[in-house]
Amino acid sequence: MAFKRRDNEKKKMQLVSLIDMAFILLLFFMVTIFVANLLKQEQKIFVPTPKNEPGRAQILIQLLEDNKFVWIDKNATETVDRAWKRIENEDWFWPLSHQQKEKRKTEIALHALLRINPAAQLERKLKALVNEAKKTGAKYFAIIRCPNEIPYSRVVDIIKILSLAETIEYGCVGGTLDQISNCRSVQIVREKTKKGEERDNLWIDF
Amino acid sequence: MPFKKSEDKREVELPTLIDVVFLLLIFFLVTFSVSAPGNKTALPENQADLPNLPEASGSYLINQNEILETLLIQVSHEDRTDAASPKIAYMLWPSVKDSFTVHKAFINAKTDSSAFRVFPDNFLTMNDEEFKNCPPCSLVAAHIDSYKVQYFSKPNPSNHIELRVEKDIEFRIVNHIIDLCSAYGDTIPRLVFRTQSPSKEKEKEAKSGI
Repeated sequence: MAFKRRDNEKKKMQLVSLIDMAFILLLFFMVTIFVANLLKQEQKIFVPTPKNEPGRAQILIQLLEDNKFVWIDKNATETVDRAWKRIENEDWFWPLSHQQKEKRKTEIALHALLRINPAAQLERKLKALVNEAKKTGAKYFAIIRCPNEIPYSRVVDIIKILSLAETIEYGCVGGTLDQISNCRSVQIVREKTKKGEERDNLWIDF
Repeated sequence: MPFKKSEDKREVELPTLIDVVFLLLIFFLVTFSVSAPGNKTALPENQADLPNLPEASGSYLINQNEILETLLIQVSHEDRTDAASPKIAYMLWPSVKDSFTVHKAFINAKTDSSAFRVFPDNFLTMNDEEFKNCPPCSLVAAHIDSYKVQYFSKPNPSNHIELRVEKDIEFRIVNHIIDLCSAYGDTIPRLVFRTQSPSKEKEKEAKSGI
């Protein structure tokens, strides 16, 4: 089948197609600029302001120099209880006065609790907590304690990971490890939960 | 098979016209969403004008053109390229009349001597009382109080104050602002930390670990 040969007349620029093309190009550049700018945009993290009442946290993250940290979680009660039971079996413990016993128990509890972790473990611990919260749907409240001289971005780094789980609430306060080390007392207190169950909670009074 | 000879007289082709009209529509839709209404200020000219915020993914994406809606306290270095330069607290107030963007509010704060104060070099070694009474901390306290009186008449979960703090700024400053807000209880129940979007690589890394 032979097609009819088109006339060799001079082709004119088609205005509609040209506008079409121009707008497509314009759109392309606008969208690419918009997407590129997304990376430079700021984001918001909501942080509750702590109330002026004794803090009740399931997880306490005490930040230290050189990116080290202390992590106290729900296992703390058990850890302290074990340490106390161990010393109660010692012969030297019983002759002590009540005050001396309390002092010694506080020292032992703090020794068991305040284990300084290397920086590399923080992200792993946080991610494990987030995974657990996501899997079980359990609610957690984490308090981040940060000393004055540490850059505030370290707190943001932690919040960034914790905020990945919707059931984890968090707050940040200022404070040092020394304040915990010099606390007045460490106690295990039996309390009733909202569901009426009895549970042992650890009280650090500082 | 002979094809029908096209007529010399050109008419406007309807499908192409619709095409163009839709493209125009998309164009205006896109431009409308990029520039917020009332924004007549220019973006910062270079990256050095932007504060060096910590990176964190948040659920609320905002940009430099966003209209400031609440009091924003910015703490940044005098010279953002020099980490050793003095730290300054700026009070960025929103404007109901002029719908200030963050950038415009920052320019206003920079030119208003009553809206910023420089932190003394020794602010880390000051005791709590001295630090609380140093000029920038007093300024922050006065502005939070004044803002609360004007806009937060009663406790409301949506009441908040924003913080835009460069990533290497010491936690003492942030902690002081948190303390000031927490003193108002449920009248200022939360703070908003402004952060930078993480780079895509870092975001991928973070997600792969979870």
